[in-house]
Amino acid sequence: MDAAMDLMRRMPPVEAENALLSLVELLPHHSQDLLSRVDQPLKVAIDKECDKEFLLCDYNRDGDSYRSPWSSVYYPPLEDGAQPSENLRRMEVEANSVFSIYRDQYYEGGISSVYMWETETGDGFAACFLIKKDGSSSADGRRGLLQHGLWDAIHVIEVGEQCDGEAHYRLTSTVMLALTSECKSSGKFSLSGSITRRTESTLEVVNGHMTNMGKMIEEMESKLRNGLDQVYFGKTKEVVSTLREPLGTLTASSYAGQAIQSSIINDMRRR
Amino acid sequence: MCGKLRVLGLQMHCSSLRLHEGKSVQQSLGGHGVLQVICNGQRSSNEAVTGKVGSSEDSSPGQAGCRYGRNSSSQAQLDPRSPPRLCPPPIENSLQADRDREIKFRDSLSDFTFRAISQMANYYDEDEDEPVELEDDRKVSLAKWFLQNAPSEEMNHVAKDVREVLRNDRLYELAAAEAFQEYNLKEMISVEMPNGTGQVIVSRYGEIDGSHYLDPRTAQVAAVDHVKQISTSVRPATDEELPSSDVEHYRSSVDAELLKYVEEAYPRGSCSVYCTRGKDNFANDGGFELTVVISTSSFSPQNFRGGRWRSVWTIQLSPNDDSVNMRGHIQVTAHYFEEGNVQLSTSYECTESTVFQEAQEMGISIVSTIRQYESEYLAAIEDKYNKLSDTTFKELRRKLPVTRTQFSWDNALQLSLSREAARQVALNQRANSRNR
Repeated sequence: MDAAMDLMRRMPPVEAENALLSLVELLPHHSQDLLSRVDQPLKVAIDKECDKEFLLCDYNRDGDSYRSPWSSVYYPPLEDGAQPSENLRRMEVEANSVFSIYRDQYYEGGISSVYMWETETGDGFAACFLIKKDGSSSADGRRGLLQHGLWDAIHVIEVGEQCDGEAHYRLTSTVMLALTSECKSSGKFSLSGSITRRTESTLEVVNGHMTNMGKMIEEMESKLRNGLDQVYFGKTKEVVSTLREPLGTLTASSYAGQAIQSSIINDMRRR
Repeated sequence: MCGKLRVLGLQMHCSSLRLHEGKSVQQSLGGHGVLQVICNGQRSSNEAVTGKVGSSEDSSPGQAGCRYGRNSSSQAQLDPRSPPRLCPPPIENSLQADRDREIKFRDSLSDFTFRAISQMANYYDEDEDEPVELEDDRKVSLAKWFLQNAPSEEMNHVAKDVREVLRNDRLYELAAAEAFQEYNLKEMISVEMPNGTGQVIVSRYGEIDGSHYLDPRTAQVAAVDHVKQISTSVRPATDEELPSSDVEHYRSSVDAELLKYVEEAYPRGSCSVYCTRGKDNFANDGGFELTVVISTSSFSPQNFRGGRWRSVWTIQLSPNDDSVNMRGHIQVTAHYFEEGNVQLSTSYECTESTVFQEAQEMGISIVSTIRQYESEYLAAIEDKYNKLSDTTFKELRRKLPVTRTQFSWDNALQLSLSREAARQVALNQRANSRNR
């Protein structure tokens, strides 16, 4: 299992689906475990009743059908599909409409879906917030900069029982992205990746759970986005600069620059 | 046995199925749902067999065993985070299901799902509930796929994982024998020659046969053990393996200039110049082709990163019409994998032409063209990175909303509530006016 997870960490992120399936095939006894631990890009279906797209995951699935967050109807139709309690469904409707506004402000397009379900212990519940954005120039890319651009965000949040006006929230978030820009002067440039982070906090419940959950998700998404942008992409850029020198210019991260730095440091130590 | 397979409301014929008639196979597939595979339309959902499940307790501490309730029905009760119900719904006996909704739903099915279904079906033998061993061929080809997709310099890590996953050294070695050779050639790795005369690049331009590679600089042929990624012995190249002295004159002149450039630009780089066409031609005034290869890698497991730069320049020299045509192809890969997996992959092609000159000038001219293009390309990559965070990344997600302030959850809640209220009012009004 460790070897399998290590392979998932090394295979190209764009090949994640293939890699996972191959592992499932090679390790049928671990298939459940693999499938539960590795996230896959989200799939989309259409709610005919509301003429709106929704996202598929395990939380809106009952058998072979998926429940739309808009009409709460199952596709393909399922007469006795599981439904959240009336209270929870009310919160789900509200969460979907708020989250759509949030999604539009940050993503300028894309699809979002929120699903909620009762947890089996106590009065707590759980929710998952999903966003899928196709930022290619042929889809929702406003600036036409990407030939291919996909972002999938999966936030699963567990909300504990409320006591003394406070509730405990446990959030697990995964972002998967792939972008390719192609032009004559610089050829094809592709970055792809995925990261997962967890966080927990206990918060006062003033305006209901949605505000608390929303703020945690917003903070986490910003953290993941900045992490990918600044740290992860930055690190791959550093790798490039260790491979080839920018001739004529000396930079702190280049091989020559590093060599000079370390010789200066050594000199200073000697004195 | 040829089975008619009904899956997620879709009917398809699948000759590779080895399913017992009437037996249904069920498998939870991540976000893709429980798949139900039913042969010949017979249903017996109680007989559903679920693959044996490894314990999810071995996931990293502090994390719920199953992050998402992606369990099959048999496990649903065990995980409080499972969706409310996972038992498969009753399925109509008739295969004349609603075609319309099948077509609608087909869009959300991918090759992924289909491949998964066929695989799941193949695990089960006619008489047993236990998964059937995969064919050896299939195992080898899957293992090869992983090995071939190993990031630069991470082949040995991937190989170790693959060996562990396969748990069969014979099959691993079969896969490795093929995959390592392809990988080494694709990556253009360099290996130290055992007689201390430097490194030889394992590239298809210098391939004598599957395990012997020419080093034109030292006019030697190195025997390479692909799986160990070492050179085991070296012999001098024969006359047939080397170009005529006229062509060699040009080749070595380019090589000499290239060495100077690579030393300056690629801290750990290897390079080679091969004559890839017309190695005897020049004597009778024919054209010839030189191929310049530059390959360099860096790998730092303690910093969770690695990568490779590869350039291949194909240069057509035609003394007849004094023309020289160059075609360059540069590929850069980089991988960063500390608590995540992010990979860069680039590919750039360019062409340039110049005039045929004396050997020494030719070398200088060719290498200065290469230097110029590669420096510009590096700058172009740098530029891509600089634009990423402010423009390109915005195509996926903005740093802040258009309003440049964080999202106001309370207001949005109000907004959505009032919208809902307005909608209700409008609905009521419409209903009232209809009643009147």
